[in-house]
Amino acid sequence: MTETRQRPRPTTTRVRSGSVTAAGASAAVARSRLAPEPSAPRRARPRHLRVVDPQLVKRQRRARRLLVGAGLLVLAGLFAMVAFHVELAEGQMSLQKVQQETAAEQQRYEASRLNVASLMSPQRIVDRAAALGLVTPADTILLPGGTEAKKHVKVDATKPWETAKPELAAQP
Amino acid sequence: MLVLFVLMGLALAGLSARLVDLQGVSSAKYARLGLDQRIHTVPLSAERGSVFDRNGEDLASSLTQETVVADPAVIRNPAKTAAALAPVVGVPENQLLSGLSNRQSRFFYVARKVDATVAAAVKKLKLPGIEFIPESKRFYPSGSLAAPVLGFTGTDNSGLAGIESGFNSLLTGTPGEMRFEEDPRGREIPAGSSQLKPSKRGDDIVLTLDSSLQFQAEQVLEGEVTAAQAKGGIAIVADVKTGDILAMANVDGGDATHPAHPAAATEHNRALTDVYEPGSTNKLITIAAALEEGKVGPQTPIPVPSSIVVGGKQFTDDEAHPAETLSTTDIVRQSSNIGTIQIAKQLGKQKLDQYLRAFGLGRTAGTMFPGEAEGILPDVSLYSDTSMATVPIGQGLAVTAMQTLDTFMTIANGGVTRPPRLVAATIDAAGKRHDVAAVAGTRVVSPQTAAEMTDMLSQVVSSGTGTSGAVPGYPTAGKTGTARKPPYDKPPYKYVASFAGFAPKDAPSLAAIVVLDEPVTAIYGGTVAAPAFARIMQEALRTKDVAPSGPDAGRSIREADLYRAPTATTAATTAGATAATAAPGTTGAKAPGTP
Repeated sequence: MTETRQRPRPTTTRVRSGSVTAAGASAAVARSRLAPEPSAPRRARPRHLRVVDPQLVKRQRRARRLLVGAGLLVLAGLFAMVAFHVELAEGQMSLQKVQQETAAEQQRYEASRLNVASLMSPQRIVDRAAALGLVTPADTILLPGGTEAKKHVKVDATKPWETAKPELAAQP
Repeated sequence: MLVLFVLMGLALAGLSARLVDLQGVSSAKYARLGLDQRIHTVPLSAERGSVFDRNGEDLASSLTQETVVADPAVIRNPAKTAAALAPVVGVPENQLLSGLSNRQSRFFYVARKVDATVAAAVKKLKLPGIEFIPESKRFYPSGSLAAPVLGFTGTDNSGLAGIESGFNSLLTGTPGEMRFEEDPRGREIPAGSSQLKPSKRGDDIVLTLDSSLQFQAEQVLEGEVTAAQAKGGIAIVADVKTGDILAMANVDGGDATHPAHPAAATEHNRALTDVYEPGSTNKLITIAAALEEGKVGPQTPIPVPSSIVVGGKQFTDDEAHPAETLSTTDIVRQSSNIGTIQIAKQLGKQKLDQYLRAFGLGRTAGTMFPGEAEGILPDVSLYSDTSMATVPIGQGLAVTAMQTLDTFMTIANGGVTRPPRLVAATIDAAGKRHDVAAVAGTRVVSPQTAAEMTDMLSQVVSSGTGTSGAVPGYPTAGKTGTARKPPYDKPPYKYVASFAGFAPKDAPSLAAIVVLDEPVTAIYGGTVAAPAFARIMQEALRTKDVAPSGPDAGRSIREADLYRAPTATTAATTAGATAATAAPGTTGAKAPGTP
C-alpha cells in the first residue's frame, strides 16, 4: 500500500478589490487583531491536482491493458467457438450429404450390378442369340487333344503391337 | 400476518422438497424419462449377403426398395387416396380403402418393396399421410436357374428354402440402429445426442455351381423329360477331383396345360432331398465289393441260369435267355440281374452291407444342404429272405441321386471317396474370402479294383446297355439303371430310369448322373437317361476345357449324329435289365413292353 503524501496548502486572504476604502481596510485590520488566533492551522482538503506516482501509473496502465486484452481474448475465444461450431455444423452437413451421395451411388451400383447379372443370365443370352438368328451349327468339330491341341490364346490389346501380333497369329 | 408467513413458509418448504426430489433424489429417473421421450430409435436392417456361382456371377442378391406406407389417422379422404394409389401400386382399390379407413391404426402397408418407377409415381401424387420406408428385396437375376438349390426368402428376408434357408444365419447379417434426440414434433434436435450402431452386412456365399453348365443341364434335361413324357428329371454334374457340384438340375414334367420346365424355387431340390430305388446303377457297388474281396475277377466265369429263386421268389433278367456262363465284365456290360445276385451270394450280406455303407449309402452326402436325405438302407438284421437278391441289384433300398453319383465318383477317383461340395466359400462383410475346406476322402476300394471297375463300366458304354451314353471324343464309363417303383405288382407299372458315369475314362475329370422319373415313351435308363447324360457331359467337358482324347477326336461330326438316338432294335438290346426284376412281393414279374 503506498502512502499518499499531500502538501498543506498555504492559506490565502482574499482582498476585495475595487470598492475597498481606507476606512474599511483599517476596520478590517482592527477586527482581525481583535479576533482570537486559531489553536492549530486547519488542514486544507486535497483538491484535483496532485502529484502522481509514476510506478502507480504504470501498474494501472498494465492492469488496464491486461483487462482489455483478456476481454479481447474472451471475445476472440467466443468468436472462435461460434466459428468452430458453424464449421462443425457445416462439416456435419457436408458429411451427411456425402453419406447420402455414397448411399445413392451404392444403391445405383447394386441396381446396375443386378441389371448386368440379368443381362448376363444364360436364358437371356440364348433368347437374344435366337432373336438375332443364331442357330446351332450343323457340324461339330472335335479338336484332337494332347500336345497338338492349342489352347485359345487371349490377346492382350494393351500390349505393344509387336508383342500382341504373335499372339494374334496363334489364333485359329 | 403470521398465518400468511406460515403458509408461505410451508409453500416454500414444499417447493424446496420437490426441487430436491427433482434435482437430487429422483433426478436420474426423470432424466431417463425425458430421454426416453426425446430419443428416437430407427432400426437399420442388415443387407442380406449375395449368392454367387463359382465364377462370381450373381445368383441371388438384394436391393433396397421402397415400401409405401400410410398413416390412416392423417388421411382425410381414404376413398380418394385409395382411388389414386390403386392403379399406381397395383393393389385392389377396395383392399387399400379398407386399410386406409382404419383410423385407429397409425400404420398401413400400401405396397411393399415397389421398384423405383412406382415409388416415383406415388411420390408425384403428393398424397398426405403417405410415406416411404426402405426395405431390402431379394432378386434372382437368372430367373429360375438352379431355383430349388437357391431356395427363396420370405417378405421379411428370412430364408425359407434351399441355400437361402440352410445358410440363413450367415446370409442375414447383424441389424444396427440409429438413436437421436427429436423434439415433440418429431424433428431432430440440432446438436442433440445421437448414436449410430451400423448394421453388418451378411456374408456372401460362393456356390460350386457353374451358371452356364447349370443352364445347359437344365435345358438338356427339360428336352429329355419332354421327349420321354416323364414326370420329372434330375441331373447332376460334379468334378471328380474336387467333389465340386458344377450343375444340379431339377425339371418338372409337362402336362396338358404346361410344358416341362425347370423346377421352381418352392420345390424340393430333389437331387438331394428325394430318394428312389437306384436299380442297376447300384450293381457297381456289388461288383466292386466282390472284386475288392477277391471273390471274382473281371473275367471270372459266372453261371447265369435263366432264372433264380431267392427266398421263394423268382428273379429273371430283362431278356429271357437260356442258362449261360458270363464273365463278371459281361454281367456288368449286360446288366444281368441273375449274374449280380450270384456274385452277391459269394460276397455275403455282411460284406455287401459294409461296402454299401463305405460307398456312402445310408448317410447324407455331406453337402450341408437343408433337408438332405440319408436314403433308406436297411440294416442287415432286417434283411428279408429276398434282400440278398434285391439289394445287390438296387431294389429294396433307396438313395438320392447325389449318393449314386458319389459311388461313381469314388470309382473315378481311384477308389477314394470324394465328398461332394456345394458351397465353395463364404465372403465376409469385409470382403475376405473363406474357402470351405474339402472333406478328405476315404479309401473304399483299391486303385486296381477301381481301374477294373472303370474298364467294365466303359464296356457298358462301348458295347453294353449304355451305348447312348457315349460322349463323342471322350472315352466314357457309365452304367444304366431302370427300377420299378412301388407298388411293384400293380399296373400300370412305373419306373425310374437313370444313367451315371464319368469321362474321360482314363483320366476322369467329370462325373454326371441323369435320373428320369416315370418316363412313358421308353422306360430304360439306356434309352432315355443315357442320351441326356451324353449331351450334358459333352457340354461339361467343353466348359471345363477337357481336350477330346477318344477315337472321335479330330473328326467332324454332324450335330444330328452327335448323340446317337437309339433305334427300336438298339433300345431293346441295350435296355437296362433291372426293370424286369421280381421286386419284393412279386414273382417273376416282367416289365410291360420288355422284349
